[in-house]
Amino acid sequence: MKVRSKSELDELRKKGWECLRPSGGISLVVGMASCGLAAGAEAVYRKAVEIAGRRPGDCRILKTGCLGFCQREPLVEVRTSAGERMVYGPVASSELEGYIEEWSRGIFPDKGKIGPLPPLPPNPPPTASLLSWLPDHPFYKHQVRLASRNCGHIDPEDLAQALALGSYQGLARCLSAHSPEEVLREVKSSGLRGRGGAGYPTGSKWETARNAPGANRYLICNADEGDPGAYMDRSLLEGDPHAILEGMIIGAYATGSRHGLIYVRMEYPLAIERMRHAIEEASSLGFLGEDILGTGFAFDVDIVEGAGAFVSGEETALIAAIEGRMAEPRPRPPYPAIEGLYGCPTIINNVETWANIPMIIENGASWFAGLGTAGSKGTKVFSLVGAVAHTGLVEVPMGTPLRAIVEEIGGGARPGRKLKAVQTGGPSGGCIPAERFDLPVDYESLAAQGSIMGSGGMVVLDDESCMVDIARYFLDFTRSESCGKCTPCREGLDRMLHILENIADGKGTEQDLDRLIDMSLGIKDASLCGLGKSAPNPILTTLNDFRHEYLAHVLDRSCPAGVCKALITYGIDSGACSGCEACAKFCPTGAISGEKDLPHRIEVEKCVKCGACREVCRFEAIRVGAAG
Amino acid sequence: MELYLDGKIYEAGEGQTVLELARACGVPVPSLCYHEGLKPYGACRLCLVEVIGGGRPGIHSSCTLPVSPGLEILTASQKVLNARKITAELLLARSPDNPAIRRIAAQCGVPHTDLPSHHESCILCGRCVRACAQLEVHAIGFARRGMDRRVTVPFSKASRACIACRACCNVCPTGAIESVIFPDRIQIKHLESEPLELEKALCTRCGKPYVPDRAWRHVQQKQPAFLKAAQPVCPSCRRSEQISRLMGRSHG
Repeated sequence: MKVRSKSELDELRKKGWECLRPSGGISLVVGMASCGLAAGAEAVYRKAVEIAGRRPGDCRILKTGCLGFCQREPLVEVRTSAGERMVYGPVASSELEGYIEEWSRGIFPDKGKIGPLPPLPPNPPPTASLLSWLPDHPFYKHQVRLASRNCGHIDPEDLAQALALGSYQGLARCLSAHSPEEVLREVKSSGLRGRGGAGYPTGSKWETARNAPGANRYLICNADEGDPGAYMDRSLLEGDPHAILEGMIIGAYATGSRHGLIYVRMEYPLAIERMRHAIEEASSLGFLGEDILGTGFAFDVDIVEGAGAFVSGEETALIAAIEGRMAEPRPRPPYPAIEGLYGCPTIINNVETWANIPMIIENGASWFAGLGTAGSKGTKVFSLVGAVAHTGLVEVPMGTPLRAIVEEIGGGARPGRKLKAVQTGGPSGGCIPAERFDLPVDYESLAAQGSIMGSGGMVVLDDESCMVDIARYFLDFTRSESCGKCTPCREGLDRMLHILENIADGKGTEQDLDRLIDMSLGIKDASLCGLGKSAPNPILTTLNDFRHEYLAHVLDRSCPAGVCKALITYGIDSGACSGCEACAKFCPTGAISGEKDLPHRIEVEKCVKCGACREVCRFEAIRVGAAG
Repeated sequence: MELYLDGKIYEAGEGQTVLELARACGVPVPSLCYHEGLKPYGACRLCLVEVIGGGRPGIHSSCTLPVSPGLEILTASQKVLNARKITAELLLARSPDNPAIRRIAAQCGVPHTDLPSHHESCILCGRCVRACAQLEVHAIGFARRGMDRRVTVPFSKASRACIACRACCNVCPTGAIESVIFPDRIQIKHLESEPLELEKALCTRCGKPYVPDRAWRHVQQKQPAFLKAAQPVCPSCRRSEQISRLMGRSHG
């Protein structure tokens, strides 16, 4: 059935709203994105369905995408027919029976309660709008969920629910009331910049492609998210695929493109499955394909599965991969917007960029431009991970101070630890030290610190992280992900890693530090693509702000954070050791011995410094000291 | 169109690259992966120049940078020299024994390096791969990535596509691809792959070995208009045939 009229659309929206808001009994909404599933949401869902089967009409079970607060997965939201909403997590399937019993009687026990969501009104909102989240919860109160607006509210596999929250309203408006030029102008004046890393103005890119000669144009959604610790794109694809599709269709209309491709890494099977389902649903209702919404406009979308090379997220490499060649970047110009896929003008935008488009059309460029800073408009999704109390998917207005993200949303350091730095932008980014946490998070401010916004990975580091080790980790990553085409990236990252490993092994010299800086600067300038041009950033920023840690490694031959294995030894404080034997049980090499209830000891020769003992010790008896 | 190299105005032609212009004007710019007969590739990163006006500012490989009106280029700014120097040093660390690489590195101010050496004969400039592709043979290609990147043939077995035209050997700046011409056959060794030996087809006139049979068939297939019905004839027989034709005699 193709949607042909407003009344047909309203009918669907009504249906979707009835799913979202229970008319009797309660609804349980289980967060079933990859983050939830990894924490056991599947078992929770199955148990919930089983229990609901015994209470017909009284309890409905729904699925949704990522609610954001990954730390507390599996998350379950309960909705009542009175419109109340309460979020719980972590919820174990064994506790579910008891919870449902209480929830259906209108009781919200404190155990596992995260907080209330604002109630759903009786009728669907007239336009796509931002639903508020837990307004009093520190994790949510600073957030403005724009690109991730529907994630955690809707079932990503039910288009009717997305429609109920206003999906495809912007598209309908575009097609019926605006010329492609007007849409383009709106996106341009919104100030939206690419969310994939480089921050290029989206409207200008579209305009270049629109004006480029050629009968055929392609749109590509870059979903080859590859930064370690980053999962923004995955969460959007799994939580609200229609936001991305709608953005692409609007983009196609504005630029005169007929075909779209979503390049998703194959390591995201659930994202691929849900997107495939979304494309089918959108096609069957006439939002995709020939004669979209009866206007004569035609556009189709296919999925291309990427075979897992980090470099294929680089746009020219991505094009090569889609064309069936090795994923290797090529020098620009020509830019893909002029000469891209199969030689045709091609617009490549990141997942999050596309997800922003419908809201710009729905609410206007000036509304969007009202969010964020002078040079960075709108919001940005981050995956906040690492040594922080609350990890999760976070979306805040551009310009939000790093401190608000790390200390308020993230809840600051874990008990007994001290924050040291935040690594932004993944392996292409840099480390911002704790002294500069007042930094507003926007493109310009991060670049001024030698880091980048990147796609939105945010790894928090505390005093247990060694900055030499962090730089080594990221360089090891970029070195092994370099395609090897150009000399500086291929050879340079390898030799710099060699120098860093030497430093971590206590064999470095002070001259090595200057050498690293020289090589970094040369490689940044000389490399062909963004991978090589940004790979030295973690080294440069850590050398700039944490030189004392490097000096400790090369001058004192010590690792202050107790991480670099060659420079540390593990020992047991006999005063603190209770002789519980936990460490001896976990030691993979049998290096720990001792009698029960008496202090244990570690045989240095057998110890591989894996740290397993330290993790299991409940008495803080494992001590890390200097080697030698 | 007019543009600036190191502050001086030069006249450039449509479709030219900055490297071609520099070469034509006698402005020295080192290069390695560039070859006038091959599609530019931009991989060795020696021919770097700096754009300071009239285009997107920054360091670019001049072999892939098209000329455009008003472009302002520096071929030897400090930034350019530093970037080139690092690149040259890294190439030297990859192939410290290769005379061609030593010469280029010395030109870029790197007589020696203390970086760990790898003693590779191939510097991955990709000239061979591009030559093979441009001849529509596609016998060799790149495999693996990063430091494991290799020029190779499928599965490192003696190639079934190679026509032993030896274009790869001819364009290789470091002599990494070896070939030996025997009277009756050609032996070619693509780096670490199994060596390939191809018998020469016999000249249909004098019966002496001429070109590898596969090469003949490849050219015949690619240029059917010329060679559809032709038979392999060696250069000396062809010459005497033509002389005979010119002198009005029937050949045979």
